[in-house]
Amino acid sequence: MALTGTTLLLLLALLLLFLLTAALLFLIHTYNRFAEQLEDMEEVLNGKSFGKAGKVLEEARDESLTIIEKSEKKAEAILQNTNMFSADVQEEMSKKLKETGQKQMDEYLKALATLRQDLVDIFQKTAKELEVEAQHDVEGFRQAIVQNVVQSQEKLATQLQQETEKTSAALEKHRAEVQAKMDASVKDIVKQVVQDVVGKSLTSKEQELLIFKSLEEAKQQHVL
Amino acid sequence: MYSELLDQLMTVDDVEKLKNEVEILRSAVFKLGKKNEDAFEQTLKNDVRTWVAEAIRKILADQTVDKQKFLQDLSEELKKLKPVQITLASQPSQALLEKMHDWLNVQVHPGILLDIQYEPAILGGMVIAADGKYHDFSLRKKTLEVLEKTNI
Repeated sequence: MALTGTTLLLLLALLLLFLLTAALLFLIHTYNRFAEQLEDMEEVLNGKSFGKAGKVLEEARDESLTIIEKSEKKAEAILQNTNMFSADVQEEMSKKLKETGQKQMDEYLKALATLRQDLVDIFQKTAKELEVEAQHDVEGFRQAIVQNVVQSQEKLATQLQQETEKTSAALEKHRAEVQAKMDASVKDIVKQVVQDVVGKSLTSKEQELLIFKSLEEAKQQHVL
Repeated sequence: MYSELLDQLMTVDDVEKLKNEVEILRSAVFKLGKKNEDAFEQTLKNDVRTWVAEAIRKILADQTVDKQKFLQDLSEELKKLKPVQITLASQPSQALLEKMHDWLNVQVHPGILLDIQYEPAILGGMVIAADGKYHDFSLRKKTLEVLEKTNI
């Protein structure tokens, strides 16, 4: 069947319009999936484990591959159902379509790989920072506890020492007062007894002996 | 020459009495002069203790001894005697005083005079004050030292 140039141009325009619509729908669908994956990643970043994030990335990649394959098959089916094109044109269009899809797929996978690597780096960096920060906090807390305990012990020891010194001083003062009273009392009694008994009962001979003994002492000490 | 007089002196009181008697005799020498020699004798009889008067008469029996010089030298000798204040617990007998005086003049040196004080509180022994220093050898001090050592 021979086609005129205008008809061929019209068919090509329709085909191009169809392809553009299909590509737009594909991009919208891909964008939505990518947005969902980004939300999942954000969720992972907000507290999920790294393993879950990796799993989400794998699932996203698989789903993307499935979608792309489905889109390719649908496009091929559409092309096959349109018998308006020649086999060469169809083959050429299919080839171009595959190349375009493969290129997009490669770029997408590359972007995913880059994103994954970025996420891995972020997670590793964040984990490391969290570890360092946690260690810093734990160390600060430990030091605060130790300092608090040491200060408490020192304060308690100081108070105990002060109380002990006060008590010892009070006891010593009391002991000295009692001792002084006892000494004074005992000395007064003994002195009075000696004066009353010895002083009055010494014979003149004993007094004389004491006097000459005193003279001997005075001479030995060169007092005289 | 002076030993008969000085050997009899044991206490400060003895020395003070002798000093007074010597001064009276020196005054008698100056007042009476050569014309009334027996006036000096009258002073010896009336104003001087017997043992002192006899000792002086014995010394002056030697005609070579000048009365005035003798009395002046005696006064100087009395000033050389060294007094020692001794406090006792009771009044000593004369015999005890003589024994103490003899002991001091033999064991320490001659010419020591006793200045005896009385203080019963020292209980026994003596307290000596000599050359401005105070030395306690009393029974009271020894008793207190024992009490201090035993910490009663």
